[in-house]
Amino acid sequence: MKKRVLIFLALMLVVSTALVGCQNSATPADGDGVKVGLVLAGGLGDRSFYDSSHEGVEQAKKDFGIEYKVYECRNDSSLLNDQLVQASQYASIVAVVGFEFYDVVQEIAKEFPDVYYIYVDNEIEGIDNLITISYAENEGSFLAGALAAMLTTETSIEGIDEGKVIGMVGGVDIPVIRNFQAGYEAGAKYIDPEVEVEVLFAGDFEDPAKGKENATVLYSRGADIVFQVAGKTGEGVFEAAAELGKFAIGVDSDQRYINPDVIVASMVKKVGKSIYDTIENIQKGNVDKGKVVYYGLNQEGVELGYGTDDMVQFATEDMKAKIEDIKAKIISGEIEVPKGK
Amino acid sequence: MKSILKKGNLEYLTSLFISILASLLIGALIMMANSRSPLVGYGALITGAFGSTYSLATTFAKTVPLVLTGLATAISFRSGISNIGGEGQLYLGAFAAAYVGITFTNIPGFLGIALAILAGALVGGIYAFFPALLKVKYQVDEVITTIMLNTVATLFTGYLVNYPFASSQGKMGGTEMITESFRLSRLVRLSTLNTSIFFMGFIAIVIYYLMEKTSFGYDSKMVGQNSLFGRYGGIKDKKQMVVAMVISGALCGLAGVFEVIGVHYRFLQHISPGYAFDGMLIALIVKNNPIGVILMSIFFGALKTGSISMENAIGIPSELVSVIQAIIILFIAGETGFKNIYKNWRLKKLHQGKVGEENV
Amino acid sequence: MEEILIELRNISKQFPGVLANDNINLEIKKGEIHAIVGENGAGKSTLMNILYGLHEPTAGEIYFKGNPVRFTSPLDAIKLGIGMVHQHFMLVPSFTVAENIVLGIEPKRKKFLVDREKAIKETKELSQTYGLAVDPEIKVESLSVGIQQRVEILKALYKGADVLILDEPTAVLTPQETAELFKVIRKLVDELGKTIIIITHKLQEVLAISTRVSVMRQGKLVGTLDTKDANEHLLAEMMVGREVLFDKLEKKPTEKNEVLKVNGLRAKDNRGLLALKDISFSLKSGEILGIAGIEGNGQSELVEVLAGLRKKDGGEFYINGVEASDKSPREIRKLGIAHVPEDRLAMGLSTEASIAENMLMGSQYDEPYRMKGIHLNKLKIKEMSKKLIKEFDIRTPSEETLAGNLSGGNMQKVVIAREFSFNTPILIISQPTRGVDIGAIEFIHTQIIEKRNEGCAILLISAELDEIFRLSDRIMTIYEGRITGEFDAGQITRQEIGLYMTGKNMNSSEEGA
Repeated sequence: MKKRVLIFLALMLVVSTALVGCQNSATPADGDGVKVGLVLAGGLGDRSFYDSSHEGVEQAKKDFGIEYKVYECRNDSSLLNDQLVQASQYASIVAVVGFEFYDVVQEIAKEFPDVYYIYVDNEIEGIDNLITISYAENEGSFLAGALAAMLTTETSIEGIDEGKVIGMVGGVDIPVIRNFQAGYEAGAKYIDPEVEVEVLFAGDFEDPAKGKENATVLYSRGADIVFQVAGKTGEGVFEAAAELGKFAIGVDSDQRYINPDVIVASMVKKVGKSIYDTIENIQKGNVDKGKVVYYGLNQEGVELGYGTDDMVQFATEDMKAKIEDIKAKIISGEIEVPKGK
Repeated sequence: MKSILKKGNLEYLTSLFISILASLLIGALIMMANSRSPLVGYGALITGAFGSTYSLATTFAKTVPLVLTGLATAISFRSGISNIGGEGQLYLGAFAAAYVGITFTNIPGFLGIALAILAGALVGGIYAFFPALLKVKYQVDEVITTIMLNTVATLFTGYLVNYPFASSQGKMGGTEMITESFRLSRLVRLSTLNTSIFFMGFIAIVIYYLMEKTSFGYDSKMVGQNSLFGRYGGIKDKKQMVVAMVISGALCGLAGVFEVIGVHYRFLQHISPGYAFDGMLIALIVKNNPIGVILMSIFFGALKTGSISMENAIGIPSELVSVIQAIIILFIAGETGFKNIYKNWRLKKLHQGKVGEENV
Repeated sequence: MEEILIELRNISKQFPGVLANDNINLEIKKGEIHAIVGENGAGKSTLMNILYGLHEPTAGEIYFKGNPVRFTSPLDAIKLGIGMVHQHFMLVPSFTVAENIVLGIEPKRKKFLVDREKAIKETKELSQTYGLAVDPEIKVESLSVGIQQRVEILKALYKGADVLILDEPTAVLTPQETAELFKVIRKLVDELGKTIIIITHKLQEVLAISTRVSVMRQGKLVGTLDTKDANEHLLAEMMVGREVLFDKLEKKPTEKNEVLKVNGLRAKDNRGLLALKDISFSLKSGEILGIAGIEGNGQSELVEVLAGLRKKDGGEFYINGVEASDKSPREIRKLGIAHVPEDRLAMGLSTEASIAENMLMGSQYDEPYRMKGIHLNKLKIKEMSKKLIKEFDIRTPSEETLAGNLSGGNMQKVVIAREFSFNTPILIISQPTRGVDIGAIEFIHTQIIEKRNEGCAILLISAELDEIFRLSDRIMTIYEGRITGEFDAGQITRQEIGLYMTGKNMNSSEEGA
């Protein structure tokens, strides 16, 4: 009997992994443009971080006539090295997305000195063919926190109460995410020091069910608006918001289109744009080799996205003006945004 | 080897072979349904897994953790106690190795490696000891406790690497890198294959010997098959289960150790993509046979390595391989599978002949 | 004259490697008690499973009241009024009697809810109609085996069975329960017009109960005859295919020294109730001490305590003067007790292991089978197994064959071979011939007597009084965890011993004491 149960469990496991990513990923490449490999620690379809990077290379394909292939590791640590090697063998520019590649990319970059590596979301210096792009997530999140703090007492909107509680669901408790958290909290306090920020970590970037669970907890603790920084897990946050009549802030891409009725704005991390820019720079030959390129508010690497004009806008013009004001102050250095540890 | 080819085993091997063939066939049908040629697809898979020194090395690199976790499962299941907590033991073992690697930085390399291996095995073993104790003392179902302890271990190590042991370099959930002298050297350029495969080979031989050639292995098998019979024959069945569980935990811990000192050179928050569960599947498929575990691990490793190449080369999603694995398990683990279909078919043929004769 | 109810024509059934039924023709007449006898593995159960729809025949037809029928599942058989009581009961232990009886065709209330009241009422009516007394509201797990069997019969009757197939119904019953069952069977046939098919290998029972008897051997039907024309000798010969000699076993005079001393032993059963209350006796070398009693009166617990498998609750026992209570099974074996357990499948072997592996049990820590404290010497083990297979006439293709593939008799011989080969001064033998065919019974009995003649002290526990009487030098009766009597063989008759086994003597003996 026990054996049956085990077999069943085992099967569930295999089948569930098999069902997770059944979309066909690699784009067949033809033509003779520059070859770009896009290596993802996770997989496409997150409508967030990885999809954004994909948009960047897609745009580069349109504008510069490059060819590209996508290499997904699907959060399997044993594939990081293999996919990176395969991409390096194929392409002359390899865009690497995911903090997980920190060691591997340094190792492999040394093995392929003729390949340019664009490593997104980390900071490595001193390897000639490796350009890292670091985002000031804290700066963008500061704006998100400020907006949330302004909205949380806006009782004219149905579903928002007087309580000054806002929330955040993080994917995994790691430095990048804590950098979001630091900015978010600081932004909220900047508007109103009495605002309470509740933060939960789902422990996963790929599990919407956990996102929903955590968001539901936050909403039940009185949060009106929850900032999701959890990749695919964040889709569960949106679901919970829709079911409970509450609100959410999206992340990485401008996610309002997913559900404009509950997503008030998105902290856009322009991964795609930065990859696009760097590919352009490499082709033009003006890159800082072995350097870290920072993308903050100043470089338009992060911003707050309000969706398109046909969507209902929860943020009033006054609020947007206030956000612009804060943004200017951050760029000028008047406001110093703390970093996550 | 001879004993593997006994009649019962032969029957099983036939059905395993047919199962694999059938699942590959279904895989081919899926490819065809997506208008891809299965010949090209499987061609890419085979080349990707065995086509060059690099791909061969990558395949074998993948088998190291699978063999260890597979043997871990085999030894516990055979003793009648189910260790589903391999993943947790692996994480703790890996962390223990990393801890050794970043703490005892001024001892000689070979000593450090030995210490890391010992620490990982010890921690994994201890972590398996408690659910085993609960099982034999208080009849607490070990399936449930070990599954739950997985979560405890992954969350605990997740906390450790993000707070007290967080790396100062880069943004990542990981510890500092271990001392250079403790790192096992790579064997083939670009591949993560490293000398841990020799350690694994040695461990596999020891475990094989233990399971198949010793009174300990005999006792385990008997207790697993019929614990009352074992006790009646003078085996301390509870002790046997606990020891088997501890060995199982130690093996999983070792799988973690080699991920740290051989592959990543540090502990990472998500260091295992579920090796212990893959190992469990492997052990289930080969019915806890240690040699079977090794062969099936190579097969699984090849499937994984090859599937990536297949995906990159011709765009067939590597998930197809998961489907293939699932089908194999469906056929094999259900224990009816093709064995009975084949038997019935053969019997019918036999009997049709016989009835015909009688009628004449 | 009598109506032919069921006819089996040219039935064959092929299993992997075995032709279980080979071209069988059999007629069952309405209102008869038809016994089907044969040794284990002769194909009786297979044939009945075909008739009950559990197996489909590989070839041949079944006719019911002259019409061809095809059974794809027991439901088809039940529809025609064929019911079966299996050797291993198919009851839900935690359900009540009534719940078990109506299981699957429960009377319903409001379409979905089980009408418990009605189920109880119907069960009561049923048990009155057939004169089978049961309490509908008691849980099955608390019933004795005999009563459980009664519930099984009622279950079949509730489903409307006119033909009842009883598979080895007496295998688990005491003599008293058997007598009771036979009364029920006669009533069902004589007063209620049912037809009974009874599968058995006990020839005395066949002669006592049946009207006709069919004998099977190795998948073939050897013949059908009226019971009044049959006798034990003839049937045995038909079953075995050669003349069977029930030899008088020759007991040699032996030297008798006390080797096992049991003193005031007490022990609890699995439910924590006192199952052994103050058991004392002594066992001498060169004798067979038979323990007669109805099952469940403490025999199992006594054996388990003596084998080190159960903790005692008081008292002690000595092996050759050495205190052995509370020692481990291994220590006790070393001290000199080998043990053939009552249930070979549960305790005596592993069906998934090879014969050789089964024979190694208990010697796996000893030279020459284990070397240097770890390595098993496969060669020595193979040699030993081959020798025992030969000595004990175990019919198997090789020592690598899985024990589970052997017949009951051969499995039992594996256990006996192993335990006898320890050459311990004391042997505890529990139910040595349960579910074993005639040929093997003969062989096992001879082996036991041989052991005795060599000077081994043997404690024999058996539910078969015949066996006790045939083998024992001394007989003790056990009832509710106490020894109620002790006799030299030949001093007492079966009828008298029946009284001691049911404690009927107790009042008088206690008054006398």
